Amino acid sequence: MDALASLAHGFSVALTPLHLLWCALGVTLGTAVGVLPGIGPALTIAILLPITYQVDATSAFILFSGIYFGAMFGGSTTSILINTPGESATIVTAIEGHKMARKGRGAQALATAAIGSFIAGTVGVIGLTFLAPVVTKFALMLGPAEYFSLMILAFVTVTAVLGNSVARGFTSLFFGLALGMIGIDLQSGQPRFTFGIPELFDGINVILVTVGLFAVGETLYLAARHGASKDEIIAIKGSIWMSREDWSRSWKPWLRGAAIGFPMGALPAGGAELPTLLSYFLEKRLSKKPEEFGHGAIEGVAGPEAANNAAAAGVLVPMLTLGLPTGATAAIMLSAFQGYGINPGPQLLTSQPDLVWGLIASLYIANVMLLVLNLPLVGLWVRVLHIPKPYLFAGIMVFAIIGTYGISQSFIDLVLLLGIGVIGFFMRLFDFPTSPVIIGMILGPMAEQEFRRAMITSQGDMTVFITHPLSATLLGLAVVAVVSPHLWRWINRKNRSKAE
Amino acid sequence: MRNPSYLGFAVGPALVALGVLALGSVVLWATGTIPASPLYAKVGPKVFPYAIGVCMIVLGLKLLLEARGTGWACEATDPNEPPLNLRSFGWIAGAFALGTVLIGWIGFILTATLVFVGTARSFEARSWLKSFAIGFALVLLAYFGFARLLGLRMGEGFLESLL
Repeated sequence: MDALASLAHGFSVALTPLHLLWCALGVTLGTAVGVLPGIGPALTIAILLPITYQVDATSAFILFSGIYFGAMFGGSTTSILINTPGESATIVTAIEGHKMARKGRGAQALATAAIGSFIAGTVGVIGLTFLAPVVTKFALMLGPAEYFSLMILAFVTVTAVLGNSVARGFTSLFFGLALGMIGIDLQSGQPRFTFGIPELFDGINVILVTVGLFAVGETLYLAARHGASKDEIIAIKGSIWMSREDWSRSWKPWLRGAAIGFPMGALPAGGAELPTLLSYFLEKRLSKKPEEFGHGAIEGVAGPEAANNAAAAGVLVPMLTLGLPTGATAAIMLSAFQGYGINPGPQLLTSQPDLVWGLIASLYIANVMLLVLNLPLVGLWVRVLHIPKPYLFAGIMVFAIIGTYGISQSFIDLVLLLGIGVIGFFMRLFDFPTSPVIIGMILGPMAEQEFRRAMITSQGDMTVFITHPLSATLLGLAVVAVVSPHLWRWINRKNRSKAE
Repeated sequence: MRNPSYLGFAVGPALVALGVLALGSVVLWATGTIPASPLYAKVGPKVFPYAIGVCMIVLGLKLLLEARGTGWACEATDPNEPPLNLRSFGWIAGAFALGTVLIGWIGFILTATLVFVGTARSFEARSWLKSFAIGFALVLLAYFGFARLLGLRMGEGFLESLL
């Protein structure tokens, strides 16, 4: 009941004309960046971060979450019509959706993606509504030692789950942690890793690193791969309605996708990539027509698309209740909170009810707006795809420069931007995931702070992390997350050799 | 992409691993230069940086192990991938580097236009003039609309002082 009353209050905040306008702006912009290849929600929010100096926190976060949700919707359009996924979480959609489009069933693929996204997104936000107060109560029991262990768990799951290699995932994470250390240490006042460069005393801005990796690095990568593949946009033709069979084959995957996506997004493991893959393989197994998979099965679009939107809502649970970002976009949003001097965490729901519940209510509205934007108006977005590549990427570079030079007017920042862009290019080439860099950068200093707090209360006794039962459990889970894939492979190998 | 090997290591991945090792060493060295005050002796500002440096060294060694043979599977080691288009890469990186050097003299608007033209060229935009016109218009629009809206200051330059 508590949640419903709070939600009602949230709607009274979200339904004001100004906030509706921010929401509409966010979802439109989000769909656009989701549709456009080479630009995603984390980058867009990073470039727009300076807006936090101009507008109040509620408006800014309604805008940001609109972008985040919109990108999830828009990404599917690109995956279906061109084979390049517009967003990392829509890779699976590209498999089946693109095949459907090739068979002239692009409209149905887009429809099942949009409706599934809407339903799962709404289910996810309902989950967020009721889960957030519960997690908050749990979070209030956490002391510094538990918080530190929770962050370690998040580090481990985020890196072990994302990407193909634990070593490469951790390398990215530690690169981010090292970047996060740069600047004056707040507790002792000592400069760290500044190499005597005064510009580095305030630390490296997370906007710079995000823009460097996601805009400059990505553009350099696409340039270096230019000419390697031809992208062809498939026109939508034929009936644009889903048939009765399409509906009956879609609704169960939508709900199952939501059921997989939301909890997986809400876990500190986070991210939307894994739930989409799981949903895909589940639908493949459950389908009455498994032979259609790989040749344009509608279930293979409906399930994963639902899963990725539900996961997007799930990611907001640890972000709002624990202050724990589990994806690059959430990490950027967290730094926006810091910009407002707001500490996301268990106190957020009680100290900023207008912000949190207004934000949650606006997500319901955003989902409805997105359904309209992406179903009847999908033709508009197809046109966005026709922006000539040279000008599209050149434009992204211009905004990358605005996003960094505009906040500092610093020559050093441009040098860093190019440097990090080149690092991002090599990371892409050698298959290092980029999100852990951002997460490490944001979460690293927070983890250090909790670590020191725990050390002060325990008077330097390192064992607090394992003597506190909850902290020990969290660390244990972290160990399991790292070891279990190896153990699993080892057992499999043993079994196989036994069978032979 | 070609995947040359040397002394039993795939060159690309081995260089990446050495880079990580070098970065870890720099982190450890830089941590040593942080002056520690006895006030914070227990958990001073050095604990985390040291841990990060040590972990990076360990990860660098692990990556070096993985770089043996043909290295780990990725685009850079996949012989079926086409070679890099270094010309395109060079156009963007070159325009960006040039703009960075010149921004103190020519200001934001011309720098951003320069990067726009270089990037457009990189993706084989045919007409220089068209790229320049579109780029200049976009940058002006961004300068007035976007930047002013967000309250960003874009520094000084001779074009900026004319406006």
